[in-house]
Amino acid sequence: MDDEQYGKAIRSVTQLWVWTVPALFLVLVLLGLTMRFNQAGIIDAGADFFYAVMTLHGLGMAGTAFVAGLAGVTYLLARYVRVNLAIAWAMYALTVLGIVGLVIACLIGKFGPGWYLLYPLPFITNGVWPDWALLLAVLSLIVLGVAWLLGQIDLFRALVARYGLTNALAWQYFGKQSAGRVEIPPIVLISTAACLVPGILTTIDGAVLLILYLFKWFSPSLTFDPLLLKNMVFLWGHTLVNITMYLGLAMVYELLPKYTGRPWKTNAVVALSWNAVLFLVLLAFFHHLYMDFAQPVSLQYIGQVASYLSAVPATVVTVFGVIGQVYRSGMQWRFVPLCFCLGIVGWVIGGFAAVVDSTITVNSAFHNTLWVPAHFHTYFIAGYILMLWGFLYEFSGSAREGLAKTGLWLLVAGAYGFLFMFYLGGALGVPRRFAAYGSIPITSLATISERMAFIASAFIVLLIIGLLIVFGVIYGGLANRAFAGSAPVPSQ
Amino acid sequence: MTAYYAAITTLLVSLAIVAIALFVSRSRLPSEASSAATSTVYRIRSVYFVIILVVAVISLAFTLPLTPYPNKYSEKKPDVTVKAIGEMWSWTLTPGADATSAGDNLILPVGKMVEFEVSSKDVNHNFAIYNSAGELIAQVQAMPDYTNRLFYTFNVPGHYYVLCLEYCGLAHHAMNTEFDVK
Repeated sequence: MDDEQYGKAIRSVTQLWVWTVPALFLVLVLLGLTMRFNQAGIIDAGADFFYAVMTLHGLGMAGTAFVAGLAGVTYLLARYVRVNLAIAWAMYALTVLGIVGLVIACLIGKFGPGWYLLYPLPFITNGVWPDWALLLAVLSLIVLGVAWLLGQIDLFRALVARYGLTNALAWQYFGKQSAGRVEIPPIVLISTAACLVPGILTTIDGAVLLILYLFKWFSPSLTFDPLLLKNMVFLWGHTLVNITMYLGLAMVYELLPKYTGRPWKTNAVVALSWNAVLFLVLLAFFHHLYMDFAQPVSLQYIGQVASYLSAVPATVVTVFGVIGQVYRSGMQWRFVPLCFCLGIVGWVIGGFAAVVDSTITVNSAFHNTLWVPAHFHTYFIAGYILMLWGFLYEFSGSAREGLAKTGLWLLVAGAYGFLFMFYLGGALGVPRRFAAYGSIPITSLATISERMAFIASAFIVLLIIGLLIVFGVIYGGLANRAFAGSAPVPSQ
Repeated sequence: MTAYYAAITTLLVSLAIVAIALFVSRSRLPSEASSAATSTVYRIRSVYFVIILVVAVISLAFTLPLTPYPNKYSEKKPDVTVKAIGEMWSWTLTPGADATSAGDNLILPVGKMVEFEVSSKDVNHNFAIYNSAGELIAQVQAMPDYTNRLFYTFNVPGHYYVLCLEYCGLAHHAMNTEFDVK
């Protein structure tokens, strides 16, 4: 297969992702709106339905965001390396299969233990979800895990085959500069060090956890250590969400220079930073267990230190890198760089709120309050997702700049309004994952929680209007482009 | 108060981030000055690198000693012990010898150190204490097979509430209890 054929083939599979992801995302946002409506008392969906929706929303959003990023980066890396197309198609097909399974388990089977399936809750159903729903959910997650593991391993293989492991990790930049040094673009380094190595390791951790769950489904008398399994689920889930952010940044590193006209190259500082991320991203998850006082205290300290230090490479290299790209570049604020830069702003604000919450003593006040969804929704909906829309728009070839920007500003306004209610709720100690606030015995807290959910709902509606406009523009671009014929990916 | 300080810090830093983004986005200069502009950014980056490292180390030094974990070396003996067991979807508070109760209502002494021995009979819960103004004042996870020890001294008499802050199934949001401090 020559470069042009490969370019067309990888474009075809990516195109399918670009059609699928916005639609999926929109449905998942509507599930989020349903939850806020219920919390505001606008609808009464029932606690069993609420928690099933909450589970699907969490699993769906984390999974969609991750796999969209993986597919996008795989496409952008086609300039440098070739992945196995059969695996790329299998990743799409298996992901769809897994999603269908989860939708059935959650919406029909009322499977609702939360995205993190915290042991042993999935097995103590109290009649809410039947055994088949649990089995279907676990099997669906295994299918998704296999799909994403295959995709990650194959991309890793392609990068290592072209550059060698140490070069792909940019270790050649640590020695003296030599004439024969292999230069690598930042997207290769970020994909390898910050995404694929930790991603593969922790997906295996997730797979082990799910297989243990499968064993317990077949043999209910089996028991496991709940603290160990809690560590395992957060190692998997936390890392997956973190590397999703880095997939977004990899896209920004690759595409922003096109708009600023300035090169963005790997150097020793960039190499050191992203190698530091490789270790920090694997250690920060301990901050999810701060309130488990039985956890060894040394691990709690490691969680805070790793969380704090992870801010250093993130801001020193990426934020200053973006500023270096944009500052006095004379760049035109087209839709794609606007998405990227707004996304970086959301990522930094959400990241700061996360670092604040990763302080053990602060976590005593914020753990499992609305502060937690506040910060991770910030770096998703106002951060990574904007970067992703930038990529999707670029891919679609749309030229409806004005309309797209209108949609983007509505989306951003809706997002920050909705997020502000989360932050305010967190500061006031409003619990997260509550189907309804009316049962809170402290009347003042119950009332303010409901009112904030009401205001947040209005902002989500605004956000959805913005999303619809942006998606309309992306889909319009895709439809026109498909008619004009697919352009091949340039090869080097 | 920790929550308010943390929230205000986050708000101020967020506004600063937006201000920096606006400043950078509005900068204009002909492209021939591009390399000079990039050098300026990298000079500032070096200073920022030192500052953020110093800030991180100082913040760690100040906040790590404030952890809520029992310390076997400096631990004082609690004045009162309460066993708190979570079970879908209720709490059972059993006072030790030094606490009192009136009927089903637990009464804890003001100004005395209380140790809550927190665990669960089934799934993970979270033992979160709120005062009557709705402020979250202390919390710890309730995990099956483990006992988490939470120490707290109530300096203000009044009515207190316990909510569950770890999602635990269908009636998670309604899992609460109450006690008094006199």
